[in-house]
Amino acid sequence: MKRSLRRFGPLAPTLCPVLCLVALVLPAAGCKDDPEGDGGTDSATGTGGSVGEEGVDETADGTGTSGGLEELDVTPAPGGMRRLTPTQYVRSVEVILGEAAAAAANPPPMPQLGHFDSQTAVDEPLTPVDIETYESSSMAIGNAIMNDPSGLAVVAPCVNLGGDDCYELVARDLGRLAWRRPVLDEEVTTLVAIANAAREWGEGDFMSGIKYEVAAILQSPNFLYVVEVGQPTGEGDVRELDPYELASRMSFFFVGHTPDADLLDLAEAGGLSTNGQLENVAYDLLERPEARARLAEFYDELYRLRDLQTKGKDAVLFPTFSSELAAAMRQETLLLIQNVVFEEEANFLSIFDASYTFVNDDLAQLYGMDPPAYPWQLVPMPVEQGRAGILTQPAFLTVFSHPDINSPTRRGLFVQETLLCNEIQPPPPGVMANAPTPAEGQTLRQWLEQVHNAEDSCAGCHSLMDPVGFAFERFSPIGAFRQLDNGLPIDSSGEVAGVGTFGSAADLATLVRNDPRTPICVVRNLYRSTLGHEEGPDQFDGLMVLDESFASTNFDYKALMVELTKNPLFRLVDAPK
Amino acid sequence: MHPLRKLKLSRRTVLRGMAGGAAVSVALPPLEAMLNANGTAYANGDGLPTRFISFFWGNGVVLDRFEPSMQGPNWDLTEELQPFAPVKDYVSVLTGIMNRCEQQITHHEGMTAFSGYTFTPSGGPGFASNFGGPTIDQLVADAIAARVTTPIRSMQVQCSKGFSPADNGTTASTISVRGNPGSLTPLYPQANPVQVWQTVFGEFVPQPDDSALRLSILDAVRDDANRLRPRLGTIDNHRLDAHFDALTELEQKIVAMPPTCDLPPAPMHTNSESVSNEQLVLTNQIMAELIAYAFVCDITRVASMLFLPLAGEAVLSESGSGSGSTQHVLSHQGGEAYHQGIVFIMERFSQLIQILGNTPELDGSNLLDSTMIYGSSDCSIGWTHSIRRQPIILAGTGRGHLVHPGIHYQAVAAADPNNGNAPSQGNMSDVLLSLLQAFDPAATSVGGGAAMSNTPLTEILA
Repeated sequence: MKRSLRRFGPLAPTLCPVLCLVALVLPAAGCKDDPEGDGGTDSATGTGGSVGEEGVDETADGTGTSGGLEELDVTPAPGGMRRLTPTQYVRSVEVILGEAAAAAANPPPMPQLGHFDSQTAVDEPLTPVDIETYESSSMAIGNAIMNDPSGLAVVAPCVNLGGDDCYELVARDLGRLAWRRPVLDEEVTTLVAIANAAREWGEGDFMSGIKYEVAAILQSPNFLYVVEVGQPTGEGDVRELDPYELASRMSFFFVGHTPDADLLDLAEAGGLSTNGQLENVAYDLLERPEARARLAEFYDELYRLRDLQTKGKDAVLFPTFSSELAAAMRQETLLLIQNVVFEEEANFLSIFDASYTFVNDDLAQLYGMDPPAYPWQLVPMPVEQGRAGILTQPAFLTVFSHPDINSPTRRGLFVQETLLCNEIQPPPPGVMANAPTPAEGQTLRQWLEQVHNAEDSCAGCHSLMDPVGFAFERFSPIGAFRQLDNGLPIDSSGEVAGVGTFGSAADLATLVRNDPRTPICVVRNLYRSTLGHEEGPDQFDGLMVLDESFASTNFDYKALMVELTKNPLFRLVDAPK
Repeated sequence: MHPLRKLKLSRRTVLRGMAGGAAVSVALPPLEAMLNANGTAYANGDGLPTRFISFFWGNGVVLDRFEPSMQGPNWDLTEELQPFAPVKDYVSVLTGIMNRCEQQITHHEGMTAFSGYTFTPSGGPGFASNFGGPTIDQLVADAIAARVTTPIRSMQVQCSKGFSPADNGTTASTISVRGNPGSLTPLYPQANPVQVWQTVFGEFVPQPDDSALRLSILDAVRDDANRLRPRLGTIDNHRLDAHFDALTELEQKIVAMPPTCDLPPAPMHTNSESVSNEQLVLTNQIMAELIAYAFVCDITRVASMLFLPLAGEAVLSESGSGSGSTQHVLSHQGGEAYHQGIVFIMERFSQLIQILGNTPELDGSNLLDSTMIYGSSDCSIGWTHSIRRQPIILAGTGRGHLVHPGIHYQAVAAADPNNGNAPSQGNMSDVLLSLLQAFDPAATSVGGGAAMSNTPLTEILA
């Protein structure tokens, strides 16, 4: 049962022109044979909130702000538990136990199911192999601490001295950090008993006790799962994160690891109550180096840059493609995003049409530029090749193509789905998808136009993807500039319903940057990744506030992240799932 | 021919990959001490083990080069079945059977062949779905676990890492799912042979016995989880159930007696090449040998092998076609290279079967005599995406359960099997039920909805 939090007042209507436009555009851009009939556009066309379900109850005057929560009519995502992602696990171990322990950490990988890892973390159960891997990882970390207890000593200096009460101190102080809340007495008793038994097993070795105590703390569901169930607000099922949970959510969001002792102390002292406090803490977190890594990790996932690790290319056609070059491509795109957000603090949408990039020697060669003066020098994009922004960087072009030929379809699908949040339906049943290779005297574009336009059932959706991808036909499957395809001149112009008319990749980049759906899609992706939750109508009002604030700051991404933490969608949860 | 693809692996390379140059002989049989006086059962009273493997390859076959024309034991080795010549007596081929999945989003519906359930929706971009119910290997593992505890319930391995960038959800990620509809736990395959070795054999490497401490930690973990339960909802409690099941299995592994066979040497090959240049011959051989060792050592009796992920998004660079395109792209071009890729896949499948056949047991039989292998794909032909006439290959007899010598069973003939609308009859889930009944004679059905079966396919039984 969904319940909204009544005390949140009505939404400022100023964003309506933009959203109405989106609502008009999206259905037109969806596929005509949509068996579900929704075209995946709920988020853009939803009526907002759950007013319709419950009847209008707009009696709240909006003055009852508690703890600085925005006054808004939303139902947040359900509460519950999420497993740590592998990087969250390793970074958390580093924060609480130091670098040597983190180097020994070996958590199980997450399955990549297509949506955000965070959603997998919320939805999927752990497997026997996962549990066993967590066990062996905890033992390896315990061994690392036996060899070098200096990391643990920061949290529990008693380990340098031994002593009868040290196991209890470790349980309380390390346990609090690892479990992101105070450790209960009965939990302390259990951990101390394990440590004592291990010391006995180790023939009196104090550090043997520490090893197994640490292993127990790290195998606990209190470490492996982030629990966010909140406390009742008195408003239906909606609950407010308690200070520890809020500190955790913020820490994982901004810096990708468990909150450190200072942040937990602050939360405990009531320092995460008002919007002003949250804003200060958020901006402090954004100053940390891990914030840059966290942002890179998010875009690594969203733009599928991590696929470059196993991406292969035809070695005869593309002999320069190597794992080193693939890694450089990935870094280039992430550097641009980090630069826009952190160095320049510029309009985030400029990543889509930036006139500069960052190269090392390998990339300079791929672009056909002179080598840089130093690795990762900022250089102008070769605009004469029609390049601008991330869509014309080699990373995107390489990920979304086949090993031997381009895939205008996949390039176009990425733009539609990931940048514009426009879902495309799968092919209809019974389609005969057998097509010969491009003939002599035919470009890939001409071939695809022939094949995919032959039947309406194909053309309906492919007309939304392929022509977008044709804009990038001047770039090979590894993103190198080319004049010819199959010996023939390349036409990279086109027109796509709902997107516009373009003559080159740079034109398309400008269209994407200026498309009103683009910033909204940035916000949706950030929300989905942060909460591990696909938004629905109940979250619409909360998201509209973010859309508006993003626009009002000239698309300042850091400000957007800070706004999200103040938003009720971040600070509240619905009944546990 | 691309010069880089001339680098074929020699037998010697395979061995080096397997064991760092050490000699490879597939696992030693269990000691006589494990058997009763007649050698017909384990001394603990449990019958000699029957084993199960499911084998999956993405993107189908070319039906008119795959389906034999003759039925019964004298079936003909067609072009795409020729690789099974060395083990033909142990192989049955089933054609023309209907996949009764109720929905279609290309490739995903084919996976009903492994579960008997229609897929369920999954969030996320692209073509996304989740399995609708448990898979056959896990039903078998459940049936075995109800009678006997092995150190691990089942193992999941993978050869090619070519996951489709367009296909998502658990349907596109694994072929092993356990539990019940609504509370399923997908078990994801391991593609790195070193990690597979660690999962299956690592526990049994001699080390200081801290098992009591490890068990006490698991007890504490349970207590912690139980304290969480009341604060959580139904879904998260299901997830904690899965966590508990995994804890129980880890406990069973910790307390298990070390197997009375020599452990295989840890492989050195990590299967980390890009999806354009995977060493699938080597990887497949190592995985097959690890499975054979695990079976003979009775560490587990169930394995699943995801050879090539759904939709086939890998370049089969060892197929000899010389093409640098993925099997997926080749399928849509329908040319010779696609067919050569299928022959290559069948060679690997046959290699797995041969390795089992070459692994002796103490009573003079081999692992094919005690194992049943079920193989299928995600569609019948890659370029039609059709699930009519989806191919099935069975191997092994499972201690006399399956017909020997193997047969070709055809549910309905088709003049033009490649036509995506060619006829099919029956129900693929019938085959799953026939297999499950070898492990659970009381099983009366497999699957759910339209794809459910309560009628085993008797033609394939001995």
